[in-house]
Amino acid sequence: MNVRINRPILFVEDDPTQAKLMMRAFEQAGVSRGIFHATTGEQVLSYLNGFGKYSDRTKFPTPVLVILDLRLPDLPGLQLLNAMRSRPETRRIPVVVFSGSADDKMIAAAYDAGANSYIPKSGTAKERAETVAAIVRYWLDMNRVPNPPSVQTARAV
Amino acid sequence: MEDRIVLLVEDDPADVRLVQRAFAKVGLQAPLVRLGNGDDVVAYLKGDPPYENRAAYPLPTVILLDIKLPRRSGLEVLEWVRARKNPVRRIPIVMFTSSRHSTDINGAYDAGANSYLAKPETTAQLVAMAEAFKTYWIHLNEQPTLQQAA
Repeated sequence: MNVRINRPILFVEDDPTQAKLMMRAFEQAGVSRGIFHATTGEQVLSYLNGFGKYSDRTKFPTPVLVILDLRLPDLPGLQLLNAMRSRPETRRIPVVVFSGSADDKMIAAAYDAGANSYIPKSGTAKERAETVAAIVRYWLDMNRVPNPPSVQTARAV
Repeated sequence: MEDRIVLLVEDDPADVRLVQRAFAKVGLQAPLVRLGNGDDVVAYLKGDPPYENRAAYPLPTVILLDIKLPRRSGLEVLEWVRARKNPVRRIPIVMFTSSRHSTDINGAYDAGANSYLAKPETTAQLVAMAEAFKTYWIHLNEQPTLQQAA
């Protein structure tokens, strides 16, 4: 099992109601302080590439995981994913697509664009809490995280 | 869930037994197909003999892939899968290996691994990992459609 790494989950969701419900679910799963909530594709790219105020990596560390809604106001989520995968700084960061669509074509397109996983948005509060708990358990406690290319320090075993 | 299959690629029989026991303990219903070397994985996914019959040898929902394998390494298998022109390229692949080196972890993600799990040291940890794996990849994750479009 991992010792949780002190890097945030970057949670991308533009709908305020959805975001509020999800933040509550993250809190229930015990990660309330380890979430950075972004609402636009531009904000995500600025954060990931360390533009402007996000250049301070002690305050805005490279995320351990990105949870990505595909419908964003300014940029299609798949385009954002492609942009991430084409840059060395961001190409390895695990991305879980979190989507209201269970369309096979959309799912295939997400995997082709480099999504690590595709999770459907859940209906009830109980389902949402279970989904978020499972995401946190798997990606924070079990999965081994890649380093961004700039940080080549070996992690402790 | 009945069409969900886990392909375990592991050459060490002792590790195979441990994983089988852990999955049994957490009540994994999905069949576990086991292959012991990289060339067999490629033959299985291509449907080459003796794996021509897809009813008997269905495409997996998720592959648990060791890195150190005879004949073709896990990373070579991973690169082969991701380079396919057909939907096989989208099969989720979770590396499952004893290596905790960042070069192996980074290399696996660069080659297109969906996730990287380090083999735990205790049985209790392995059971906890099997439970989290089952919940996440078998119950929660939406798998890509693997059939060829007509």
